[in-house]
Amino acid sequence: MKALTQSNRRALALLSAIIAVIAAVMALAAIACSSPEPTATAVPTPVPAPTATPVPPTPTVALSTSTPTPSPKPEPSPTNTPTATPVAPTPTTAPDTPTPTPKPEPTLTPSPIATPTPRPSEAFRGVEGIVDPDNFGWPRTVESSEGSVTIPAPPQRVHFLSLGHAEIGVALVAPEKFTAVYPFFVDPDVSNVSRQLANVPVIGFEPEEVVALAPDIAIASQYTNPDLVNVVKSAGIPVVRVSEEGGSSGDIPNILFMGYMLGAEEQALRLAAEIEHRIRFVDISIGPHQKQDVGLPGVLAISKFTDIYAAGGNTNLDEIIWAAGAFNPAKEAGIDSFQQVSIESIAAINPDMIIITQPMESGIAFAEELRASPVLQDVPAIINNQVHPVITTYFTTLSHWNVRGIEELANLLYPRAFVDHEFKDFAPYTP
Amino acid sequence: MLDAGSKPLRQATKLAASLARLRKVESPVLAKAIYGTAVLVSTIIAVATFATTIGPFNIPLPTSLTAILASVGLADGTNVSPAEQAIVETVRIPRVAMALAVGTALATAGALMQAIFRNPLADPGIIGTSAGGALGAVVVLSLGIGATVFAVPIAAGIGAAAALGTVIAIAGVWARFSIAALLLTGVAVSAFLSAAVSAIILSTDSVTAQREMIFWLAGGLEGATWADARVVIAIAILGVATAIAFSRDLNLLLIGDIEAQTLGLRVKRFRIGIALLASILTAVAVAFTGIIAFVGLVVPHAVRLVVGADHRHVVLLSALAGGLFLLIADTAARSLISPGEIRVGIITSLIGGPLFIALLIASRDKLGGSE
Repeated sequence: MKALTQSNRRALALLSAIIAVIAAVMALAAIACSSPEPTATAVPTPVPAPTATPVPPTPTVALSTSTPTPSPKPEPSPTNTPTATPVAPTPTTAPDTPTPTPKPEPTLTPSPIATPTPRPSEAFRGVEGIVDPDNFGWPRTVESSEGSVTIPAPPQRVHFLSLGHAEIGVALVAPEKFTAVYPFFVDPDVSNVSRQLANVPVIGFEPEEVVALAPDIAIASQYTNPDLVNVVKSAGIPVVRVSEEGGSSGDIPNILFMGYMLGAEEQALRLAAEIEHRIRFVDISIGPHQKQDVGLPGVLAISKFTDIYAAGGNTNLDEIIWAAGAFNPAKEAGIDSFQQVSIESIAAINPDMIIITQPMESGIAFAEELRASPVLQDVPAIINNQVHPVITTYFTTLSHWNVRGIEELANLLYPRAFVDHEFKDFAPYTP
Repeated sequence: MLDAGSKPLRQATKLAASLARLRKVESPVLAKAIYGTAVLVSTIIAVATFATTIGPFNIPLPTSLTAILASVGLADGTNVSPAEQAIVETVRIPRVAMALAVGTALATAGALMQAIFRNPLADPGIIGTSAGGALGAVVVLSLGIGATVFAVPIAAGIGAAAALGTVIAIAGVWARFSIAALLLTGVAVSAFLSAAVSAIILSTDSVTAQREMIFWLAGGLEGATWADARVVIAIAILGVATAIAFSRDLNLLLIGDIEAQTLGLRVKRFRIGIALLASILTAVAVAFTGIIAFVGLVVPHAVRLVVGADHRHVVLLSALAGGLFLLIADTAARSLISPGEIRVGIITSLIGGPLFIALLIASRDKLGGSE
């Protein structure tokens, strides 16, 4: 009996150990497979899962279709895929090294805003959430995952629950229509519209504060806390959830949707046209400068907040890198979403260019650290002095401002393509 | 005149019985300890070598080994590229050394805390040192001077020391350093400091600073340098040596404060001294790597389950096992999803939790769980 008990005990211990190991393996697998759910103050910067293929420019400027449907653009297969062992850098892989090639003329003249504006009903037809795209009067009805909302008149008090939407909002409505903003909306290290919103009241994160503002409408993103949304809705405030996207698509369907619900169709159309124009201009301008024989340059986007994080696949930065005429070697190395990496990982990823997406002061310090690291001395980005702290807000918020990131990165990669062109920030609302 | 029922006689009898029990089990336990030390040391050497040869940057094994030898002047390293040598010498070896040193410091601190408080739930953070260190670091980061050399470690060290001083002062005034007083004061001070840390993080306007704080609090060994590792190694070695020197006195605490006092140990002073030693070990680990949970709590327990409660063995074996445990966890953290990394705290919990449960079940008899 005693022997049997001991045997049972051993079996129990063994069984427990096996279960524990299986649990550990499953948990590790879950960690490996999952991507962090971003929040407003998420670390690192919140990024949704964007479409894998960036929206390519179309030959026309006018918004003739409803939802911009990306025609599949074959992703250029990088020939300089990073290998584990460092490859001796060749000058040809360095971004736009000055060679005596005649400067090609872009076929599209850079003008700030495209002019032709289609009839609203055409542009808004098919935009998800607009119930009747022929109705441009009031009331009008929109639908989202929060249900159907009928808006009786142009909203005069709008509350944006996410920074990306607030950045779009700045282009669509006057700042006076913002009921209040959150502290990071006016933090220039994080927000592209801190200056425009500087005079808007700042509130904390309590749902009560939103309710007290009594906005005509609140716009939430897919990342907004459901509890907060429920509290706001229960107070009788209409809430519409609008998807928050970044990358090269520039958020166009969501811009149109927001423009419709805010009564700012004209501004939305103008902004959408400008986004398409800017992306197409970059694409056309860099085309002649891309060296097809050596493939695209690999751009690694990293930041260091105590630890180093790299942007892999399924990030807006990945889309920005593609749209700017490069490939993301972190994605090729198997990094998905934002992942912590070491300095040795950077050597293994072996990028042609490194962009540092964090506030400029600490970004410059990090760039110096990378340049001085003996570990990275064989990496092409270091050899060719292609380590660039960039204006982080262009790359990290989820809004059309990512297009500015595309422009800045394209300019770093192919400076000769933009010699006579000055990129400008997006303008705020104009009536 | 002592009669048969007098208190001193009862204490002496109890003490004699306790010492006899210790002597009775000493031989097999000593053998286990010697065997355990040999196994742990050889495993540490093997794992450390292995950990130094793997990483996201593919360096062939012979090249890695040559680079390791070249880093200590035992090979010329001509067939190793400068980048490979730099990776081995300035990234991998310091990180391996840091993992060993931090694991050693935390596990030793845990063993000491569990001994002086005679409480199996005591861990290095129980008297507020971890929370104090966290507060110091968070204050520096919120002021935007985190990038200054050694600013965060120094602030974390000061915070840990201040927390310990506060606990000792309050516990001394309140209840003359009794176990309950130290523990309860430690819990209260920890809670207060943790709330202060949360308040600072939430009230910091800069998202950048918030990110830095959150990353620091999550703990990790990435970015370890020789300059950092040297400090931790030196304090860990000194700490372990001191703890081993006092291991006999720690054993006396096992049989009770009064009995230990009867044998000449100044219990209160000793307890404060050991708490101070454990806090220094914790503070130095926290200062350089952030808060890494689980090592200080679980490793000494696991060691006790294997070799018994004799601190002459528990301290040394906890130190070795702690270093080995954190080294394995960190190697897994940087290898499982390479070139990405996982926070080492996740790995310590994922490995340590199931391992500890299995040990508990296997040692049910020792824990009094058998019929």
